[in-house]
Amino acid sequence: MLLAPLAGFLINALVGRNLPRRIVGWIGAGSIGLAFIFALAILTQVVGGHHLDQSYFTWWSSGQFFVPFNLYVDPLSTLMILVITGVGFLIHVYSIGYMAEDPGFGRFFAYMNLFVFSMLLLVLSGNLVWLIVGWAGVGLCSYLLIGFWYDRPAAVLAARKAFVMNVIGDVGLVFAAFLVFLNLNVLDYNAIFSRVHSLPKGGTIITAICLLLLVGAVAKSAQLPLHTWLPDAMEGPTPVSALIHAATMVTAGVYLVARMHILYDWAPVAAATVAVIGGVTALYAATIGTVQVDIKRVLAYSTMSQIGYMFLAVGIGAYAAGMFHFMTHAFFKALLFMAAGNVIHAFHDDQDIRHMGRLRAGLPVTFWTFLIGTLSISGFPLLAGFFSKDEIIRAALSVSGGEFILGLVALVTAGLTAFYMFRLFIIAFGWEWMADDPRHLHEAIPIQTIPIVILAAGASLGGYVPVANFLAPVFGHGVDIGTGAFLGLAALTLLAAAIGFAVAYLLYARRPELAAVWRARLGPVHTLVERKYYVDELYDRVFVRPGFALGRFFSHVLEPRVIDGAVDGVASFFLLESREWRLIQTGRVRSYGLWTLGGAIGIVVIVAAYLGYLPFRLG
Amino acid sequence: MGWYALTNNAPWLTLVLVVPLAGALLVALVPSMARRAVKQLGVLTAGATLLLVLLVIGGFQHGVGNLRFQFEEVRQWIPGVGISYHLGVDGLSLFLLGLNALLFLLAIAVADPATPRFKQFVLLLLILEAATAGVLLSLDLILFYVFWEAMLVPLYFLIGAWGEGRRVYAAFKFLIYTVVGSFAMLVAILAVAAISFSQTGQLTFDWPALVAHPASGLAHLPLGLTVGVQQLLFLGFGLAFAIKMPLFPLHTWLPPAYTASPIPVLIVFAGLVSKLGAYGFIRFNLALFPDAAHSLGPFLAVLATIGILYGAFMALVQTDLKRLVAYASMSHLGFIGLGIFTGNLLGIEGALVQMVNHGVIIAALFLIVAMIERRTGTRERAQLRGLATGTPLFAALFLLVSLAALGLPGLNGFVGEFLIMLGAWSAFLPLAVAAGIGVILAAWYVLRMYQGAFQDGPVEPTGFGEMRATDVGVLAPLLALMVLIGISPAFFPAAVEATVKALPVLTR
Amino acid sequence: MSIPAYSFLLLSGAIFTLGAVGFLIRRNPLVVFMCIELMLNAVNLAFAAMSRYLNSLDGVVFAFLVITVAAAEVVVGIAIIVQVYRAGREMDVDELDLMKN
Repeated sequence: MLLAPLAGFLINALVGRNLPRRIVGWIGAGSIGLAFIFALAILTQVVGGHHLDQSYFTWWSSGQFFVPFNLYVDPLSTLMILVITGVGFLIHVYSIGYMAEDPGFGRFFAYMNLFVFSMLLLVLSGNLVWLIVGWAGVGLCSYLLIGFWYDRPAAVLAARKAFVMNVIGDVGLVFAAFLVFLNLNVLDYNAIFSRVHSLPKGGTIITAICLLLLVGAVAKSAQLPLHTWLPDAMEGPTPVSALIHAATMVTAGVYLVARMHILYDWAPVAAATVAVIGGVTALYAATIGTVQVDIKRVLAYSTMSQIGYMFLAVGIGAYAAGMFHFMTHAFFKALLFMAAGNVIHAFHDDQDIRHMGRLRAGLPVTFWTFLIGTLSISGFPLLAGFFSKDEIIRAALSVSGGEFILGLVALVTAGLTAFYMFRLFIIAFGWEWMADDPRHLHEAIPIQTIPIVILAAGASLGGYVPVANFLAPVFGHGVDIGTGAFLGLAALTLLAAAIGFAVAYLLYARRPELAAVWRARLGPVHTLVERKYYVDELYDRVFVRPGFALGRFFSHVLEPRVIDGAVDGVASFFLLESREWRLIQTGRVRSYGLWTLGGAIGIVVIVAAYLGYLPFRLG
Repeated sequence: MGWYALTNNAPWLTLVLVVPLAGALLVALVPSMARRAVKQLGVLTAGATLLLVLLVIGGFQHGVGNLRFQFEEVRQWIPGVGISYHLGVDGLSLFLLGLNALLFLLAIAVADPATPRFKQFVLLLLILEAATAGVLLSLDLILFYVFWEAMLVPLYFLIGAWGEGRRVYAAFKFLIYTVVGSFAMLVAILAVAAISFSQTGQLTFDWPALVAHPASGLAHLPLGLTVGVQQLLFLGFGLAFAIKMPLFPLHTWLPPAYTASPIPVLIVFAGLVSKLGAYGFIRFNLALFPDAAHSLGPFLAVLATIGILYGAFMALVQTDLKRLVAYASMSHLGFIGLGIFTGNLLGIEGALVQMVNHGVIIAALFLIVAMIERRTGTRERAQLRGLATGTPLFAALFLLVSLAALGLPGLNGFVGEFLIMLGAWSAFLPLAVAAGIGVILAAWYVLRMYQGAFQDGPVEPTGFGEMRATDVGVLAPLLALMVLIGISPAFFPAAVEATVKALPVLTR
Repeated sequence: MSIPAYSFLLLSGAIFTLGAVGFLIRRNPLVVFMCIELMLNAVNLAFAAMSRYLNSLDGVVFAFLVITVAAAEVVVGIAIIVQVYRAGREMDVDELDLMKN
């Protein structure tokens, strides 16, 4: 299972440059397809709640510290690997077309395969150490792929930013593992889950563990406050954005919380923090999404926002709903990104939506699939996004207390989502039909459109997959709230989405001049949102520049002046002192001889005096 | 269990010392014009030593708690004052010995025969190899001291005569620093022996004997020392080791010395010699003065942590790649120090594995910096741009080494840092957190280095050559170790655990 | 018949004094060297005499040691003198002050 993508990576990395592109591409995609078949085989074994736990070799064993390399498969990880390999396979196929012209074709597939391998390792690992290995591995691949076009300074900078932020998360995760080990003496899941109840519920330790885990999850899933890398990550090739920064990697944080749900159930404060972070991020990212003009950045903020939903869900204990949304999100977001990739290609790598518009004639397949994706993410009834998002909002609203407010936030966000997605759609794709398109846009080749169509099917029908039942052995069954409340809440969600759609339609399709008026009217608020609330600038001022300043201070002042200055001070002291003393060294042999003789006589006199041969005595 | 049993009749460890010396002798006999012959002879000697060391590592019996030293050899040397020729290997020295042999082989393999006075260069390297191996193998304090000082001489000449830039200044500074530390250690050695003599009536410099009756022996002996005296002795040894490591703030000899060193010397200097300070801390300070180690450990751990952050910040602003790696090395050595001074099993094991890792990583980094410099004629980050174009193999290998250096899980750097921080977490929590910040900074400066040189520039033909087969061959063993230790390091604790557990600081 | 020990010691002291004075007042390196030899051999004489007088071999052993060291020293010393001479320096120890300060 793991070996297939790894083999694909090795082959492509080692000999990829010498092989014809066709073979490289099919090795890359084929290995993932193979993994998907294995995943299906695993599915048949775990359905009904079984889980597998296999140990392969020992990683480190010393004292009580024993870490094997073991794999753990249950319905939760099965759902993850199905999505990873399934959507991953489609994206690989798409990439064969999308990257066809790129000189780094082999390198690209090597990285992509390595990514899928790391992601599978992350999901399948049976203990925290190997989870961290996979965790860092996907971070690495994300770095490699964001910086894939390493001749672009912006890409290089974005890659470094993503990596450093991910390392912050890694460190949080490592610390969480330390706390787990020091308090429970184990690091593998089964044992953790069975021992966790020996800690006091809601106590400091369990809360600290969960919060540290959350640091890792937040960094990887681009939630507040470690989110700034994700929009910049769009510097990478578009299939990368689809695979890593939408469908799979960024949801690793959700997986982590869901995987550790037994711990979070035991630490209500930490779980509430997860929910709050998710809710705030969902709203925050959605507002930014409303003013961006780069097609991929809109989608990036949309991703952040949707993952905020998932965090919200797992934070309030609706784990199955969160994972359900993960799956549908993987479908429609991968679809949206790949469709966006087609548009970007058609416009020769221009990503500004204001330059686009009226694409129905030129790019029919892309147009319709993108519309399906937009409808799905906005929660159009009976499409996938409708079911999963609705479930989250319902779960939030049906709990009284603080979660209710989060439910309202989610509701508002649903409206905003519909607004910015239709804004994007209207501006970039437009309603109008152009019989004679002077731009001669070309629809992408079938190898790029077929995966999109398959995903469109998923984005439409994915809502009917009984994910909650499938995951029930892991999370238990959710609360049934009755049909009346269900319909009422669904109507509420729909209403929010409808308002969002209506506003977008009004501002951008019917009365475009109104949009300008409102932008002027909102003035500073608009600028604030457009500049992403100045968080990047804040981090630059607070962390990056002081870091360099401190380094420069050490390098230019502290090291030469103070530390080495003290050392040199000792040296120059002796140098100064010796200036006169060394005059004794005349260099004349005979004067040395005289000194020697004098010394010898002196010794003789002293000895003689000691022994009493002289008129005076010593000692 | 070892993989096989070596016969006990052969003096294996003496051979490890003698082979390089014999090689040096042979090199001395070769006419200095025959540069290639000199190099081949040097490589052959170092290779033979490596082979011997591998035999020893293979024959090392695992998990035998009661048998502390293996391949032991004891001979009278100066019986009147209890000095003996006592060699032995245990979990502390086993893998460092392997690192020693490997790095010297690589160092001689990359040495350029066109170097002026090449014969003397190789000769000194081989003598240095014998000295460092001797430091690792000696179990007699005086013997240890002799080897310790013997290291200095070849190193001084190698830097002073073959270095670049301010080489004489650098070599001299290094010498003065080290000698100051060494004298403190000599005084402490004599004091330990004298105290042990006054307590047991037997004058000995034998390590096992002294550890069995620790000079510290507060509880064991009627004439037990106050902790104050023990701390004084601890600091006497500690000064020498702290300078060699180097521990903040005794590090200022390091940047000039590293910058001035020629690459083959740098590989062993940064890769190995710095670790001998850390080794000395474990071997002597933790073993002979467990109480002082307990009371002074926290302070030294703080210094080590300051070193982590300080080195990281310094590395962040360096523009010369060699200096950058030098400070990165200092930061990593801070991790090793932190692990040692936790005084617990995982911390010390982490430090031990990190010593090997650090040697492997730093040697590889310096080799790569040298390869870049040889191709472009500069090490300035600002003058290097986008070298990855057209050199995918070079870029990939450099990236792999960089990732190991920043502690990416799955590669070797992570293993050590994980265990060290785990050990530190249970001993001094704030320091573990600070070390975590060091890890983040490491990601930052390492990527700045890698990207600055290899990416972030216009794609244009740079004329930058791809790695040659010999370059890859030199890096290959290091890369293999990075991956091996990263993925399956279980062999390490298997060999080391028994020794570390028996350390007095743990059993105290 | 035995010669009393003090006469040997007197002779030894006289030779030693001759050597020491010569060392201090002569400038020719070769002569300076000979003066050193004179002092060493004066000490040897004292050693041998006392050895006999005390009926112990220790003194003789020391004398042998001194002879050996002296021989080695002469080899090195003469070599240096010859090198200095070849370098065209003045044969005057007072002029050889390279190590000054």
